[in-house]
Amino acid sequence: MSNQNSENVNFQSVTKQLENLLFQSQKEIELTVQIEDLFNVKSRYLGRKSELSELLRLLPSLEQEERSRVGQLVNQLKQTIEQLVEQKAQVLRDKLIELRLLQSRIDVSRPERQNWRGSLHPLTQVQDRICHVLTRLGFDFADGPQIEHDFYNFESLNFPKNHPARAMQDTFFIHPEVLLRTHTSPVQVRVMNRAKPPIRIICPGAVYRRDADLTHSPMFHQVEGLWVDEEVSLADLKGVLRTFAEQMFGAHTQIRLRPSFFPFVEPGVEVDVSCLFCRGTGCRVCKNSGFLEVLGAGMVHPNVLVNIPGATPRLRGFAFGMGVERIAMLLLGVNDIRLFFENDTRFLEQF
Amino acid sequence: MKFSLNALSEWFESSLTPANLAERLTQGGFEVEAILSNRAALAHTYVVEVLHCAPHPSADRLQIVTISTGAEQHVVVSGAPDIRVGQLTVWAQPGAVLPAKQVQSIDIRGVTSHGMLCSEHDLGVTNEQGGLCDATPLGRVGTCLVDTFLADTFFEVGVTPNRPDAMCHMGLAREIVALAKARPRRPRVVFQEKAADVGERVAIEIADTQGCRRYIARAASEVKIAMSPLWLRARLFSLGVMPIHNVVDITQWVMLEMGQPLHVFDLEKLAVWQGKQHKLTVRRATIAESLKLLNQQDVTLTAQDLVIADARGAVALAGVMGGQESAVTAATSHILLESAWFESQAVYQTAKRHHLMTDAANRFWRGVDIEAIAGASERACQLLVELCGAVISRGEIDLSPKKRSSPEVSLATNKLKSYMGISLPKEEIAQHLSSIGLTLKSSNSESLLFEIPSYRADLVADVDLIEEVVRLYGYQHIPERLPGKGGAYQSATPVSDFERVGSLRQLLASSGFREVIHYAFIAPEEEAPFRPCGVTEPVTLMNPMSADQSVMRDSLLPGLVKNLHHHAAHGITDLRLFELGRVFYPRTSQEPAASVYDQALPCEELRLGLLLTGAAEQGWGVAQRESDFYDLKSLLTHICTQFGAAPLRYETTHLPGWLHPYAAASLWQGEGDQQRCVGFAGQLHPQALESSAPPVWVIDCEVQWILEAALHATRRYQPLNRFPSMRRDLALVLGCEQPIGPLMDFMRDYWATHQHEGCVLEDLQLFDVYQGPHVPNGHLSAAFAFTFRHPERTLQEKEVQTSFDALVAALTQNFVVQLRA
Repeated sequence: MSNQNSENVNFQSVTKQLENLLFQSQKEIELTVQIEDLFNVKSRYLGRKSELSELLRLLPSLEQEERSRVGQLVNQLKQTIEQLVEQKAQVLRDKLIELRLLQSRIDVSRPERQNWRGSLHPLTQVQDRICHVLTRLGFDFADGPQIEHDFYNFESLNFPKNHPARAMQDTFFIHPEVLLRTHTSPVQVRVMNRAKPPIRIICPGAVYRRDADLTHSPMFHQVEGLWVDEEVSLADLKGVLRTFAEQMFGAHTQIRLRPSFFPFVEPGVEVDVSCLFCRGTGCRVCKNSGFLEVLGAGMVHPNVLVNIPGATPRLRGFAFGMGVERIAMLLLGVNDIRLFFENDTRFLEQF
Repeated sequence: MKFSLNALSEWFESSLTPANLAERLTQGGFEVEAILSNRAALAHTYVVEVLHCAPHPSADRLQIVTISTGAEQHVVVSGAPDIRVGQLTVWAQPGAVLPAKQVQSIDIRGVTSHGMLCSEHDLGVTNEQGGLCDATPLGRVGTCLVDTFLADTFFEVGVTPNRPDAMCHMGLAREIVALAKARPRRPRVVFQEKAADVGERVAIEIADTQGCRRYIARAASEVKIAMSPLWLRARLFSLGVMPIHNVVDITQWVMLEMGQPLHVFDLEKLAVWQGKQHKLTVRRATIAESLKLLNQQDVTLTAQDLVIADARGAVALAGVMGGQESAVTAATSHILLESAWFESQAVYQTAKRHHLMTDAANRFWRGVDIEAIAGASERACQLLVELCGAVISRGEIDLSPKKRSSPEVSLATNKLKSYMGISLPKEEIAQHLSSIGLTLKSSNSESLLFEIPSYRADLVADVDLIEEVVRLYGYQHIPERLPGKGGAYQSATPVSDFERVGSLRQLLASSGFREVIHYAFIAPEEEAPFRPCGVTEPVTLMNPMSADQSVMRDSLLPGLVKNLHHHAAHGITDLRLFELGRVFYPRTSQEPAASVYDQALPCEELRLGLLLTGAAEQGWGVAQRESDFYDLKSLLTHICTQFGAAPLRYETTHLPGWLHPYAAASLWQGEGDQQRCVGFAGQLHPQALESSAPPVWVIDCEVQWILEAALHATRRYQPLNRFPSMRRDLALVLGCEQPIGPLMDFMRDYWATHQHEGCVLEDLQLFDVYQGPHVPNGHLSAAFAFTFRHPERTLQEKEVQTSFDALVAALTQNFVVQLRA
């Protein structure tokens, strides 16, 4: 540094020196790469033993006017250096953060960890969906045994002994009077026996029939609905089923009722819904009919309503039932019912 | 049931296409499951005349035949026997697609055969494959078979059990008339009665008036047994009935046409009664009476069996099957034609008892129209004259022990409205019902009274009439309405079992387990190893589909173990499965039942079965660890916490044989007298598995305690402690046989029973168990983490240390443990 001849200081030389300092500090700040070094640089230029401090000590030897001008210049220089240091510090801090982030970089393309993944059985999922729609319509759950007495499964449901209608449901017997329920309808009677109308229930559960092929399983699941009250009619049945069909299979799903026969209802109907695949125009799934058969329903037969203690003649009811497997096969595109009961995890994990 | 549109059309006139007719039937409750036609098969087949016939030069059994279609001549090679020049037969031209083959122009041993000559079997119209089809009845030379009576359309119709009246062509045609607004037709039945009065030949007695309400007998002589004409054989064959000979074919056809099962006796083989006359009696069989049936089966009859008997004994099982002795044979010429009404249950019981559910028995069981049996008898006579040259005796014997009356049913219009949701004018109601044969007898301002035709025995109450009105009115015209009032069924619990079981399912699924649903019936050898204590035998099916589905499961484990083997066979050894399903046990006399009916039922219980085997964690970058008991325990604790159940107690007693005796626990709920074993958790006994696979961990437990707990669980907020906690770790070396649970219980109890100036042991964790170098053989090192906290102030290092040291000292005094250096 060249300020040994401080006595000979004059304005020009001081300003020159200040310019030099600015130039030098700028350069040094620029070259600094460590944030700690940066603060050393700062104290070297602005600290108590810095050249600048030395210069300030010479100030009294200057003229009054010059002194104040130099004072301003010194302040400017101080501010400039401080700004430069601060700017550089910010850059270095950013770099440091960036570096740390970079070090914790991950490979997002790497596959996920194959943790144990559980799932609900597809039949449970479909049954839950059915029940969810129906409970929102005001139905509550009811349940009954799967091994039933002939009385509940047939007799009280207007299937007399040895009646041809019993041949529709090939039955597993435990005993001549005790059998695996062939439908969830016995739950209707059990509820009727103990409940006071209005009754509004759904009964989901396993049922059994001696039948096995691609679309029939000896054990399968039904969800049955029952609504008993004064003045419920076929119009209410249609309204409920239409709402159900729309919520289950999508808006604008149409329903079609066809006369059919189930001993515990009169009138009895089969309920078709417009095909979910072709929207009614005809395709392979619906065999070009535009409709899929998914439900049985009807107005509860008076011979069944008598199971309600103190039933009045004005009491009406409607009931409907559907096979969970049938709907699951349609919704999930499963073409062999046995897959549901084989429980291969490679099948289960698809749902 | 299959119907011929040709035969149906004899009963109505309509311009609707088969598809439209089928649609009307389906919409009317008679679901047409399939529409079939043989037109495509007959499309390129023609009636031809054989012009010339010569042996094939290089094949002994082949003929070279020149035929004429009228317009052109072709050379065809045929292997049929007895080809006569001048005969009319059927030729399928190249391109014809017959049921069994595609016809082409082919070279047969050096001679080009242009098409083929057909037997009836080749054409698919009958099972006759002996010789060439005799085309004489089919029309002139050159006629395409599509234009003959052989061309037909068939409906496969699902007739519901309430409509036996529609199980014949006449009956279904009646429905078509009503549903398709077609014009009814009634085929004329005329025949001459020439021989002596039937009463001179036979006498009938109905001794059992309950089992037989009407019996019509007619007699015929000079019957010539022969093959039926082509139209009849083709019709029977197409409807699934094998033609036999003209007399049997006639009875079969009249049954398909008019619904009435008929039977024919060889009159001369019946026992003679009073001179030249024969007598038949309808009665119940005597005990141990026997009968050889048409199908060669010998049956020993019971006193419940309804039979037709001559003076010697039973000659037919009424409504089921005739006897061999009196059956029509090729030599028969005098016959007795039976057209009768047998009671449904009598026929059903007999058919069931002797395993003879014949078509006739099935029809009597379902119900036959008592008024239609005379018409059927006449129709059969007409055909006997036409096809067998029979001479019919004058008159008929028509016995009807009870007076028959037509039932009447009244329909209240407001009841109809309450079912339909809309009201219909009375005229419209009457119109709909008269279209299906009901007669309006009277009406007043509130109701209409209808007479029911005899063939609609299913119409007994007003709701039956309501169904008919709605069906004919059309469901599509019923408005849609959402019920606006009426409360829900009051269930016993605020949250149903279904919903709580659903939550449990969700919890298990989100804990990494896959739900499975297995059949409730299993093989006896699968059931036995896992049979619960106290169950002496499983609930067994009387009529299983197969032996491996013959007993009801009393545990969910057989299903899970079978599943394990299934996956092992596919190389999948890491499994986490659960099933929430019912199991079944025979009811013991102590168990209460809700009703007399329920007393007869087995017990059912919802259980949780769970299986876990293989790696505890999967994927890259995780430590390899096999699943173990503590994974089960962790899950059970999770369940208890989530459902608000008290913590389970784990005991090593009461273990069933299928569990590893030293790697399993029984699970207990409740205290003192209330304590109950709710299930088991542990390793399956290696012997319970066929393979020596890695350990398989299972849970088999009741579900009710979880659901109960969820229902009654009350949770109260505990204020959060804001003061800092203090942690102390403790490592102990102890013998491997020393259970850690009691140690930890001691630590907790000690802290709870000693004053520590309000300092609480907030948490105690076992955080490491170590065996290996630096720990003596037969010992292990267990490390515990204590978390202390004071509810009202910050703890001081010194006070905790003093108390902690006291606890450690007490530990070492009470247990054989050492502090780990």
